[in-house]
Amino acid sequence: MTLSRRVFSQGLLKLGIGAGASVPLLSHSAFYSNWFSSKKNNEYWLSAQGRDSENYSLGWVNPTSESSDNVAAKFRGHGLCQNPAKREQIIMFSRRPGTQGIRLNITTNEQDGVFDCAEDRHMHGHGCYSADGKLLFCAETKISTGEGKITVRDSETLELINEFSSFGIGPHEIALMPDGLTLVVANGGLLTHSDSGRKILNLNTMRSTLSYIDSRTGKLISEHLLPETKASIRHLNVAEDGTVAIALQVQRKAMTHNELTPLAAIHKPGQEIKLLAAPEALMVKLNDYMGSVVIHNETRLAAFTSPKGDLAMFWHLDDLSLQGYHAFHDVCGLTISQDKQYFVLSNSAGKIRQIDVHSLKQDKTKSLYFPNKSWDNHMISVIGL
Amino acid sequence: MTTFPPTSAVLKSIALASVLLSPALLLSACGGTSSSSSTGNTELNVAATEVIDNTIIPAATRFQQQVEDLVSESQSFCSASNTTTDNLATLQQQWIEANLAWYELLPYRFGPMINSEVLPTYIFIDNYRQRGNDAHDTIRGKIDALITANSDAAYNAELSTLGANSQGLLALEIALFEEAASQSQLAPDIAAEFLNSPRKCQLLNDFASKLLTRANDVQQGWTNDYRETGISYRDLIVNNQLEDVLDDEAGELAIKKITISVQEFYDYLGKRDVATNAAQLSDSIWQALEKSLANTEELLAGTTATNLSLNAIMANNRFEQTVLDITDNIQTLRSAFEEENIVDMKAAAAILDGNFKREIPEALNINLGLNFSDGD
Repeated sequence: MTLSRRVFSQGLLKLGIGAGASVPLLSHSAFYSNWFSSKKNNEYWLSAQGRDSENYSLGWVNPTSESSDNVAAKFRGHGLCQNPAKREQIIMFSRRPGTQGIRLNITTNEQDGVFDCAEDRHMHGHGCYSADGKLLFCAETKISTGEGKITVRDSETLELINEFSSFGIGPHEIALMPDGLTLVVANGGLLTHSDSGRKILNLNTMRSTLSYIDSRTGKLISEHLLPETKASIRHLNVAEDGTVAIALQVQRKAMTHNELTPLAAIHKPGQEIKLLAAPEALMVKLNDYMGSVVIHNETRLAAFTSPKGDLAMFWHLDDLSLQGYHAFHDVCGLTISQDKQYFVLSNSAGKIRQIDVHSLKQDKTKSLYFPNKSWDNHMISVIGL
Repeated sequence: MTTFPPTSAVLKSIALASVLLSPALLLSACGGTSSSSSTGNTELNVAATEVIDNTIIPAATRFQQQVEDLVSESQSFCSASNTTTDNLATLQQQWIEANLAWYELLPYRFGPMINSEVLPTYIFIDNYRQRGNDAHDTIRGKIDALITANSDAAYNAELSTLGANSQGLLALEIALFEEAASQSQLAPDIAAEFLNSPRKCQLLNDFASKLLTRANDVQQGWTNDYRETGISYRDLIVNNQLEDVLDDEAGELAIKKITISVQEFYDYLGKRDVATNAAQLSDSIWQALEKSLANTEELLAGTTATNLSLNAIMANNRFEQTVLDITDNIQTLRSAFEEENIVDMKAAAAILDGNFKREIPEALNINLGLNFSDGD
C-alpha cells in the first residue's frame, strides 16, 4: 500500500508530531510523488532554502496543512518565477555568481529541467517568463567583459536561443511590464567577477539604472537613474498599472558623505524615480539594505523587507506615505497570499509570518515555523494544479 | 595617557583551563559528543541568561544610579552658594562617571534601549550613536536660547522644542564643561556663569532630569516593565516570550540579540569618529571606550557569579583558538586606547566587529541569519 503524504502527515499530527512544522523525517520522494496535485487549489509558497551546499534546495510550504517539502539543488538558489501559460512550471535561478537554474513541475513534484549558463556567463538570481510563457528571460553577466545580459531561452527545452544587452552592469531582478512586451531591469551597477566571488570591483564608478527594454527586439526604451550614485537598484515588482516598486542597496563605504539614502522607491511611466521617505530611526535601522519587494494591487501598498534591519516596511504607491512597519528577525522572503489578504514574510530561521494587508498587523494564528527550513531571499505564492 | 589595569575578566579569559573545569561543561564534555554538536540551545540560553543577569542588567542599573547621582549633585551645586569651582569639579566628575557607566551599557542597544523603533530611547541619551552626527553646535544654540529666555514661558517653550539631538549626555557635557557665552572651558568662567545666569542652573537641572527619565526607562525595562507589558524585558527574552506578548518584536533568541548588538557596537567604533567627537570637552573618551571593552571581556568571560560563560562554551566546542584570538584582539584594541591611536583603534575595532559577526557565532554554533549576514 502506498501511504500518501497527507495521510502520513495527519498520522503524525495525531501522534502529536509535526504540528506547526514540516514533516522532515523523509525526503519527499520517499513516500509521495504527487504532492502538489493532491491538493488542487491549495496555496503553496516556494522559496530557495538551505544553509549550506548539502542542503540547498527549492522548498515549499502548504500553509493550509502546515507542511513543507523540497527538491534538492546543486546551488544556492535566489529568485523564482512561474510560467504564466504552464503554471506547473516553476524556475529557480542560482544566485550570483552561480550558473545553473532548475525547473520544478508542481504536478509531479519533480525537477523536470535544468539549464546552465553559456560559457563566460553567470547568473544574478532572477528571471521571468514572456507573457505567453514560451520564453524564459534570465539576468546574466558576460564574465570576460562585465556586460549585463538578458538571455532568452525556449521555456520548454530551456535551450538558449538569444541574448541582448541589459544596458548596464550587474542586472539583478527583471520583470515583465503589464503590456506583456517590455522588460524592466534592475541594473545594480556592481561589477563582480567569478574569479573574485562576490567582491565588488567598481565601487568608484558604479552606475545603477532602471532600464526598460523591448523584449522582442532587445532595444532600450528608456533608462532611469537615482540621485544617489552609490545606491544600487536590485529588486523590483510591477503593479497592474505599470508602477514599479524598487528596493535599493547602498554601498556606504564608497560614499563621501554621511547622509541617509532612502532604500525604497517607485517609478511610474513617464515620470522620474520617486524615493520613499521614512523616519530617520527606521532608515538607520535598515543598514543600507533592502532585500525584497512586492506590491499588493488592491490596497496599492508596496511591501519591502530588510534582513539587515529586521524590518518589513509598507508604503502607499500613490501618496508615497509610509503606512507601517513590522519587526521580524532576518526577514527577507516576501509574497502575497492567494486570497490577497496577507503579506507573507519568511526568514532563515524557518519562520513565516502573515501581515494583514489592511491593518498591517501580524495575524499570529497564521504564523508557521519550519525549523528544518532556512528560507532565502525570495518567496513566491502559487496555486496547486 | 590613561592606563588601564587588567580586569578580572581579562585574567579569567586568559585562564581558559580553569574555565573548562566549570561543572556545567564537565557534564556536557563527559557525553563524548564532538565539537559544536555538544552545544545545545539550553546551554546557550543559560549563558545568555547569565550575561543578562550578571553583566547587562548591572550595567543598566549602574548607569541609572550614576544619572540619579548626577541629578542630585546638580541640584546641590545649584543651591545657594554652592557654585564654586571645587563643586563644579565634583559635578563634572559625576558627569564623567555617568558617561563611563553609559559606555558599559552602550553595546547592548536592543530591547529597553530601543522601546520604539521610530523614536528609540538611546538616541535621547547618546544621539551620536545613531549615525555619528555631531550636535555640539546645535546644542550650543539651544543652550544660548534657554539662557537668554526672558520669561518662564519662553524658557519652557524652548525646552519643549528640544529634539533628541539636543539633550542627553552631550547636552549635559556642554552645559558643565564650557561657558555658554564664550565657550571658555576654564572652571572659574563656567562656575561664574552658573552663579550669574539662573537659567543655566535651570537648564542643567532640566537636562539632568530628562536624562534620568531615559535612564529609568532603560533600567526599568530590563528589570520590571518592558513597553507596558508588566513584564521585564529580561523575563520576556529569557523565556522566549517576546513574540507571544508583543506583536512587533523581531523574535530572535537572546544570544543572537546580544551577539548582533555587540557586533554593531564595534562596527560603530570602526566606522564613526567616536574618539574625536564624543566626550571631548570632558577629555574622557578613552576611559569610556575602555569601559565598553572591559564589558565585552566580561560578556565573554563572565563574572565571579557566572557558571557558564560564552568563552567556556566556545572552548568546549573546540574553538579554544578562537577564544585566544579574540582575547588577543581585545588586547590590541586596548593598546590602541592606551596609545590614543585612532587609526589602530578603528582597525582593531573592525577586527572585533568581524569576530562577533563570524568567529564567535561559529564557535557558539549559532546562526545570525542567512539573509542578515549574506543576502543578495
